[in-house]
Amino acid sequence: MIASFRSELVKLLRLTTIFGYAAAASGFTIMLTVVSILNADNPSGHGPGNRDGVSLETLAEPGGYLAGFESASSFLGIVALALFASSIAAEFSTGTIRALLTIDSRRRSLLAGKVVGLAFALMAVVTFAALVGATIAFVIAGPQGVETSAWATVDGLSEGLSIWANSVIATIVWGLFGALIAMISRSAALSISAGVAYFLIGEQFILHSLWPSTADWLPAGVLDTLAVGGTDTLSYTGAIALAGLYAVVAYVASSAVFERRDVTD
Amino acid sequence: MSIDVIQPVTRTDSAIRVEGLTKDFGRHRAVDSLTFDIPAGGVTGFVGPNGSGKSTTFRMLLGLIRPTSGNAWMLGHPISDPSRYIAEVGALVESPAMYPKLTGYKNLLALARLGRLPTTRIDEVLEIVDLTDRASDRYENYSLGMKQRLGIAGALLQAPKVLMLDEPTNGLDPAGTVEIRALFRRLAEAGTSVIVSSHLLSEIQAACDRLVMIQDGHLLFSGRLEQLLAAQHSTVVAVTADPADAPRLAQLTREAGMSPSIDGARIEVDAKPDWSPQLSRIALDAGIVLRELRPIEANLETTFLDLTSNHERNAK
Repeated sequence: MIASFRSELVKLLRLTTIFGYAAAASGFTIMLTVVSILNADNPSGHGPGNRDGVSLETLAEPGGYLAGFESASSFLGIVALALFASSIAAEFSTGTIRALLTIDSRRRSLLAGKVVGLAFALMAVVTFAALVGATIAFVIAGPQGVETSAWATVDGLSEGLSIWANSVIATIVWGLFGALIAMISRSAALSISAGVAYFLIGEQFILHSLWPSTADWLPAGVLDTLAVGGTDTLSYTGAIALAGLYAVVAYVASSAVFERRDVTD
Repeated sequence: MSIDVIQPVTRTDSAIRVEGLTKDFGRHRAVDSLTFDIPAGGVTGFVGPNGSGKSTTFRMLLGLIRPTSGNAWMLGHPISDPSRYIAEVGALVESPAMYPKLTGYKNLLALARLGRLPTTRIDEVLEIVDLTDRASDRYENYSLGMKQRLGIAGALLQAPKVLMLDEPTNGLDPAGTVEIRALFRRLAEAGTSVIVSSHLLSEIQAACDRLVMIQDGHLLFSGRLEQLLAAQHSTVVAVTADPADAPRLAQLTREAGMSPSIDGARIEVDAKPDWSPQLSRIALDAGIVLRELRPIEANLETTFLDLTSNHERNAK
């Protein structure tokens, strides 16, 4: 697995590869950070767990500087899904998978190394987005009358790290779903559109039209809950457990599909 | 000639041994009960028309796809567990597949890291395929021939005991083709078993000493190249200066025990090339002047066409 990871890094460490994803994640984070601060003039606004808006009170909390970043969790998840799906599907569509398998035929360790490599790349993307979001928040919060005294404190740093860690975990699970869809479809475009369609439309359809009781169980909801540190209906621990379960299922299924698949590409 | 000239598969020094290997894709049988044996060392050509199952067989031997039935052994290990032999095998399956945005060097680095190989080996294989000067260029900017060279470099990274290359000279210029052919010979002399698939039969004839020939997933021939060519009929063609002499020369060759065919001034005799001097002497003794005397040896191209057309007739 370590050899596969080191091999994957050769590909992923091209700055332009990561830059595109980091730019997309950061751009959306900047937008939500700016919007949340500029619109946070209503003391009765909602918290970040609710996407309707962020109150001044919430922004003044120790982790308030990452409120926009936290609100961008779903979009960051889609970035993660696209990163994993496009990387793995491209191995099939370009035929590089057969070149790799003729060097090391142990498919499980090959996949494991790739996933770990992608997880590191994703962590870099998410970290960059968090840093950009925090920087923007620090720059524009003062002039907008947002109380920032709790931000640059140990509590602020601790809360920020917690938000960042939750986001990293949630996005990695999104990425694993992307890997699974890519392994099945072997097409980057199909994987990304199928993943996005499910998470943005399919799950909403299930929730609103079929089984509303699954609100706390379905993947997109769980990952959103995890990214914001838990909600009233699903605790942080419950979200972590469910996200872990989804991660294991997605990874084991990807591995099983890869193990059995004839490489004809 | 017979299309069942198949070597026994009981050798113990086989690089590759295949027994009854079959692969179905849905209802289509791509490879049908292939049985052949490739001994260690030497250069073996793997030929067949497009869609005959060459790449599918390569893929099964490399563990990329699973056979429907049958079995095979690479370097004595069953193909059901490629991890036992893949580190000793180098392969280029179909066209080279590399990361387009990475340089040639970085592409090889990714493969070398996966195979836990020292980076010094990258420099060595780049030198072998004459790509050292272009190693820092992106793969997407390479010409077809350079991509092919890099693919071969990738296959050589592990210093393989078995080297399997699909259309390795595709895109190479004539000088490059000669270089690669010489490389195969050097590797074979050093003990590597080189298996080359190509549709360029003249290329195969020039580079290989053994042959595996398949069509529609069936084995047509497996064995030494000269064994195949020797079994094919060669001819000697004579053209008389005066067309009126042709029937007389044909009669004289008949009297010499041959069965000539005549077409105007042209006489064609089914005979080994070394019968040419005898025909020349017959003409000379009879005072017949020849405008042309030419032995036509069986070549792989005609042999291949004969075998494949026989197979098609038998299949019908």
